[in-house]
Amino acid sequence: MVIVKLFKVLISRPGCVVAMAIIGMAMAGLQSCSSGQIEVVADGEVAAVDGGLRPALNVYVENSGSMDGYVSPDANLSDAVYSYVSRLGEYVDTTRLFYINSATIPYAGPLAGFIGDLTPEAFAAAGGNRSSSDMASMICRVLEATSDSTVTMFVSDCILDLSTSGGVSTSSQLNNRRIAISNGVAAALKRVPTLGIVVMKMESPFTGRYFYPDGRTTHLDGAARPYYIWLAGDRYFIARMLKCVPPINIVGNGFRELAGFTTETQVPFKVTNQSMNGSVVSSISGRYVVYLSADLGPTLQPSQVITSAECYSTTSPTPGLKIERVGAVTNPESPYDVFLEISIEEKSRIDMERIVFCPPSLPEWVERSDDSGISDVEGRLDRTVGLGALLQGVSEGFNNGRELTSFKFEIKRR
Amino acid sequence: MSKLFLFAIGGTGSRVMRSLSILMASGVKLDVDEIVPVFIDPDASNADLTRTITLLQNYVTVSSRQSFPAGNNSRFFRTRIVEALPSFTLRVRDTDDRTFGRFINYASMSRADKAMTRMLFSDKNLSASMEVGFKGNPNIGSVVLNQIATSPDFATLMSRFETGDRIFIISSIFGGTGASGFPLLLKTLRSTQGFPNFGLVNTAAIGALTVLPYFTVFRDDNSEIDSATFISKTRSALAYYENNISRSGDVNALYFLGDEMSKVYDNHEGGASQQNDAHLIEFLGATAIVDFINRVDGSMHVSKELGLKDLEGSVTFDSFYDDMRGELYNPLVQFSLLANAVLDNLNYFGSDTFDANSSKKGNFGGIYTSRFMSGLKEVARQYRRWLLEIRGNSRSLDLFNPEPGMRPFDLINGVAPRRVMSLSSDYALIATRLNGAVSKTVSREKESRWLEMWWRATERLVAEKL
Amino acid sequence: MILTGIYSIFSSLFGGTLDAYMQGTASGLQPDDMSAPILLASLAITAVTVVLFYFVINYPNFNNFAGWFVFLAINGLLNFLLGWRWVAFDFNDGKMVSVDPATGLHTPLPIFEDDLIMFGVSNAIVSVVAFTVLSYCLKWWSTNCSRAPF
Repeated sequence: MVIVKLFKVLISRPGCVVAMAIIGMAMAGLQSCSSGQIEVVADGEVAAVDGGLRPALNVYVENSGSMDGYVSPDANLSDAVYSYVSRLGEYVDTTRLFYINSATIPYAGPLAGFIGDLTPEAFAAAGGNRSSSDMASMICRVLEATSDSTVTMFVSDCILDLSTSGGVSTSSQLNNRRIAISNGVAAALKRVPTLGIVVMKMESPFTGRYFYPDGRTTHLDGAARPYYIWLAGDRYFIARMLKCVPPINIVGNGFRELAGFTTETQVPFKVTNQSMNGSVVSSISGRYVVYLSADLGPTLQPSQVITSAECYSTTSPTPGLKIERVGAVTNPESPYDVFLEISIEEKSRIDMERIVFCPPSLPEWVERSDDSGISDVEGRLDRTVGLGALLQGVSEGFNNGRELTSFKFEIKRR
Repeated sequence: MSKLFLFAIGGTGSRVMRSLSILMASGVKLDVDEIVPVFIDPDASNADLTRTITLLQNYVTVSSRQSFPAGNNSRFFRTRIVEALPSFTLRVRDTDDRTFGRFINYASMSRADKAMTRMLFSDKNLSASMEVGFKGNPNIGSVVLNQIATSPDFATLMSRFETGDRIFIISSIFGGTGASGFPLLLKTLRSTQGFPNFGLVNTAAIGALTVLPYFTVFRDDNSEIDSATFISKTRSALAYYENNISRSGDVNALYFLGDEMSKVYDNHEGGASQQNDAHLIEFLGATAIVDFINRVDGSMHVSKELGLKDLEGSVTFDSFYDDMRGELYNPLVQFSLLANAVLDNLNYFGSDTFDANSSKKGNFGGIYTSRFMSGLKEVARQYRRWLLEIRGNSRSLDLFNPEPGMRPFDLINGVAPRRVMSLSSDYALIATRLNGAVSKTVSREKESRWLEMWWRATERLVAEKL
Repeated sequence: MILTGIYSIFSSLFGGTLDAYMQGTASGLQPDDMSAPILLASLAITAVTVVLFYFVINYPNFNNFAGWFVFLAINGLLNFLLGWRWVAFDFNDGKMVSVDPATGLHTPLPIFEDDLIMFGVSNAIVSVVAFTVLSYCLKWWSTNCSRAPF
């Protein structure tokens, strides 16, 4: 009743009613001026690369003596390589096969024959210096074969052959290898500016002799030991290969980790509202929520890196924008593989933002997988001597540690 | 500014005047600007007289606040009533406190004069008190009323007479005051000189209504009034009128009205208890005055009687011939709507809910507590009472449903109101018409504007519905 | 834009998410600004109610605050129902969904029955203000009700 009385008093005076109407319109007008709406416009959106081109694929399998244990009957390297190369065949033009150690030995037969010849006997028959392998040299030779239309695959145990005699320290040897690889990568980059290298850590039962750097050997029987599949070539070809034939699907369930290396690139992305298809965003509880969806495939980074919020950072000096979460896009029909949920305070004045993606120069698994070669292998079965130096060299060749990509967008107030 | 001097003699005169007042309030067309009522009745406390005087005074309260600029066609209370004498009454002196014998100074007369007097007047006449009139003795009245010609009141009255003014006299033929007063007054007006404007008066147009018996009274041995003598008195008076009035041409129009004497009233000699219910004859007498004003001039000498179409049962509008019906129907229906609204729904019309009251329209604030409204309410009350009396009398005049309550259009018996294209009905429809009419009013004063609004609205409503 | 702004004043009553939905920025199934047609429909109902009161029904006995208030209340009720049922239609039709950015699947927006009802209330409030303003604009020409409400 008090409200009714108040209402009666208020509207008994025309002046009050006119004032109320003006105030109401002013409030609505002010509300619309601040409006609670923004429009987000992606700046420099990149279209997806045409996937019609098919490169050539050169497959190099190291046939050093240390590889014999991976091609024993109970190992799964052969099956893994066979299935992987077969499936990649759908996305490549031609496949050429090679053994590699101190020499590069082409294999003339078909893939099935090649895989069938992944045996210690065939390795020995292929030739080359099987007792000593210069990993850096092999990798550089593989890189030399890489071009903008040729993707190279290198399958190896990546064990650096460190000599304990000769007076050169282990660290110097590791440095030398690192620098050699770095130079090899840099040289390849000059030829292939869009070069990308992916190193996949695989695992297989190993039955055979393990060679320590100091010349000792030990016999391992069915021990789970890492080997590595390298892919090098134009990053878009590699990204497509990784997407179309995910390493996790390689036969034998041997895939464990992945490290990717490439230069800075622009990737396809879009910025939308909650509906995922509109650019106008309304504020809710004083905030705008914007979704940035991106295809980070060309960065060649593994899923756990591209979905790590620590790898993203904002660059605008104007405060008010925050990355709330990063998640993987599991929708198979989506062209994107990651989304960022971004919140912008309604009262902030930010009108432009560039979010950068800057993964660590080496993934943390590399350090876990590196080995100095001093300790017994039985306690460190999942490690590889000199791996850290190898991949550090690759990283340095790409000058990694810088941002790999960025997303720039404007915020227009409506 | 033409005037009608209207002499209403005795009880019948005041009752006819009552009906005429209602016709005037309703706006029946009268080709005269002012009416000057003059009551001649020694019985000053006569209830019929006092009631009519009150009605006239309330009429004046309302009418005096009306103005009629060009464009204001309202006829409610349009005809002015002039109170030329206090309480409209020409005083008959020396009747309150003495007998007729004392009045004529019988005791001081010579033997011869006394003898002459006893031949003309009975002992009962000589000892009769004149306090409540002449009690059906016109012989007494014809002596007492001689004072009129020389009375100061008469001189005051006649000093207002102007060229073009006319005179009408109302009287009954079967009573005391009227029967004696009419011929005396006529003689005074036509023959006497020495009063102001006698020249104009002597030659003015004069009309007269003579009411023949139309009721009886209960027999009462204690009363001098005996309705068995009504016919005989009428017959002897008519003989006198035939020889001395009709043949002389002193009256330009003489109206006769009478009826079967079916109604029996209580027997009261006079005073405050003589209050008869309104009767059809009195109403028809008022229409005779209307006829005289609108149709008779100084060159005519006519006698008139009234005929009605239908005398079976009650008299209604359908009983009147077209001319009379046309004169009476609209004004009375419109006035009935106004009066009923004032009596039954003034709470609404006086409230802020009634839109015409707003300051941007009629601006009628204050009018509902004014003297104007109390006068109008009193006129309406008296009108409703008049309707009830005249309807309940015999012969009945049954024009309206006197108390329609909140269904104002259930007004005329036998007439179903027509449907109107409107979402409103009854008083809501009336209010709608009033709200539409108020913006068309031209009068400046609130009271004038108010009645003008009602006139316009009721005029439209009668045309639409009744 | 001013039309959109009017409902946003009341977004604290019915929730910012419903407000965003009505602006077409929350669900891909509803990309249009719903506020404008709802407001126009409400204003139309209000205008019709005002015209009915002052010019069609135009009932002399309603020429006071009480009579006017009855129509104000009826108008408020009609507009409450309009607002409530309009958004409820979308709610029941399953349009109030957003897309999960990870899976691409629809997920319901955090909009509940209470929010829909409160939107109806907000629309009723807007209509009450509009009714009052429109009354003051038009009442002067009414034959019988020019003093309603005052």
